Amino acid sequence: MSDIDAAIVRAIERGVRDLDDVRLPLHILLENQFGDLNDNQLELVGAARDAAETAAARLRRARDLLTLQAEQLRQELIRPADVLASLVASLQSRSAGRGVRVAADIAAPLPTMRGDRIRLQEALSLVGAACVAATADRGTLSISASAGDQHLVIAFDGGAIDPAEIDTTWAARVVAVHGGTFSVAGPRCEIRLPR
Amino acid sequence: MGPSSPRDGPRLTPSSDFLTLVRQRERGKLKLYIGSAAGVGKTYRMLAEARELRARGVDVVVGFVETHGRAETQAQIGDLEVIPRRRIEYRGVRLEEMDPDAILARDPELAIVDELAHTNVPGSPRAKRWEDVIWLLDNGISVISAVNVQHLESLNDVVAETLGVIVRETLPDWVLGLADQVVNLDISAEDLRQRLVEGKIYAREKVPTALANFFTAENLTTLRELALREVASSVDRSREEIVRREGGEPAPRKGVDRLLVAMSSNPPYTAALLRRASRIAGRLNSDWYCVYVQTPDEAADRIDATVQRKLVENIQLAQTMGAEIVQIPGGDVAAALLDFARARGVSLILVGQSRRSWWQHVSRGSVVDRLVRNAAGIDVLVVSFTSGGTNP
Repeated sequence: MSDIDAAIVRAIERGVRDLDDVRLPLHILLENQFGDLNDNQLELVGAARDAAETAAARLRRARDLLTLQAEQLRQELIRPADVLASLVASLQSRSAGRGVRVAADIAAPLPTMRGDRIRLQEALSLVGAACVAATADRGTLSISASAGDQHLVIAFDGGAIDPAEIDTTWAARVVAVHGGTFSVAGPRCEIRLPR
Repeated sequence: MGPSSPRDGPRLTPSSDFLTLVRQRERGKLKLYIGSAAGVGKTYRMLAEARELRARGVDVVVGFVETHGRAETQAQIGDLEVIPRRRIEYRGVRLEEMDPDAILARDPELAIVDELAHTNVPGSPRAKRWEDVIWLLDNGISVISAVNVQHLESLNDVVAETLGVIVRETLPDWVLGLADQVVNLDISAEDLRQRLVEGKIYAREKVPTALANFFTAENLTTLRELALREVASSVDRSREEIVRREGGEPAPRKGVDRLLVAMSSNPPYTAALLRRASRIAGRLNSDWYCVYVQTPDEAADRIDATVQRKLVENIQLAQTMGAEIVQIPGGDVAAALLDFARARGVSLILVGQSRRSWWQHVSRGSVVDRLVRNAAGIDVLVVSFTSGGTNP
């Protein structure tokens, strides 16, 4: 890590600690340490906590973007078909309310691969959630997966996502430290992971 | 979720360094109880299971359980070891939180961790309890945890629209997808409301409000349906919506995910090796073979009676664990194993670490070395064991 990156990480961690001084009182109020809140108080304090938690999560994500290294990853056998089946199921739940159809086209069989299962699962879920959000109401998000000689290719075709959004950037970083590539072109987002 | 610290030194780099892989601690398993609402009995069931597992020799601790003053739940904790909570003081207010560092220091096989969607006290190392649980799993500790269905992130909008309830503590759906086992504790709306009336869920003074608001029959029925649907979708890996390219039907299984455990006649750690193989096969949902290569020295008329007895015991053990037992005659054990593996489409071979001396390695070579050297296209996992004969 460069000196500048290290300085940014320190500044972010300081920001997270500063934010704790906002989050702690809100947490205490919502834990009813001083008695029950009425509905209006509950809504206001709850909304404030949501905002503080979101800000803290973004800061931590930014820190992790700078600090994640390949050496921190596990290398375990992964069955991509299972990961994708789980992903599709959760995206279907997520999208049902807006009438977005999630269609999956998974080549069978997908070979097992090595990687950090939890981080890849998180990364794919973040991308999937962003794609669902970007797909028009009652539109279709298509997810396809196939294996080439050297890569597993997972593509999302729906709405155009913002590659600069922090969660998407994190997903791209996770893919990159696995030795893969992450690209967004219009409504298509493509992830290539080494087999 | 950020990267977490490994317990046993640096993690593996993306190279095929098998020694590093072997030294890497296996990730813990996650079992999740999911329910439609508070009071369905998730905590009670987790604790009952903890007691059963402890009786079967599993090292279990209670990482965090909130009894909510319920006598039944308190009684289930009984003499289970409870890891003390971390205490945080802020302007005279005392807060308590699960202490993952203390759990890790205690190093149990299994920790019970309730309320997976909980938001940690600000200032905690991780923001959410589910992140703590993943950290414990990363460090080789298995976890049984619980969550109510309304906390699932993907259902947030549905719950808000249909129930008029905003759930602020959410659990990403992919965490549910990580679970090795998901159990839905299903209870009818009527039974749950009865438990509420009997004061088994909340203190009696809160019961009328709960019955009139969240715990309506309609809400509970909706949540029950959501829980059933969610668990079904997380478990069912062959949903109709997944269109497979090959004829629209799930493709027949090929051998790429089959596993082979190499069993020699009398190693001291064969039973532990078989247990490891059984766990891996279970996790991969794959078939597995237990292959014994009978060398000329181990022919029926030459094998030592004690070794023979041990061999039979281990074969029986492998059978009870679901392995397909295969005996192959051969002078070159490594070559015989690899021939079989290739013929049956095995993708992973498990073998115990060689116990030959340095001189034996030099003079006769090692089966493990030859396997690793010649197993192009097949992964070989060399499992090391402590002198106590237990898994690393």
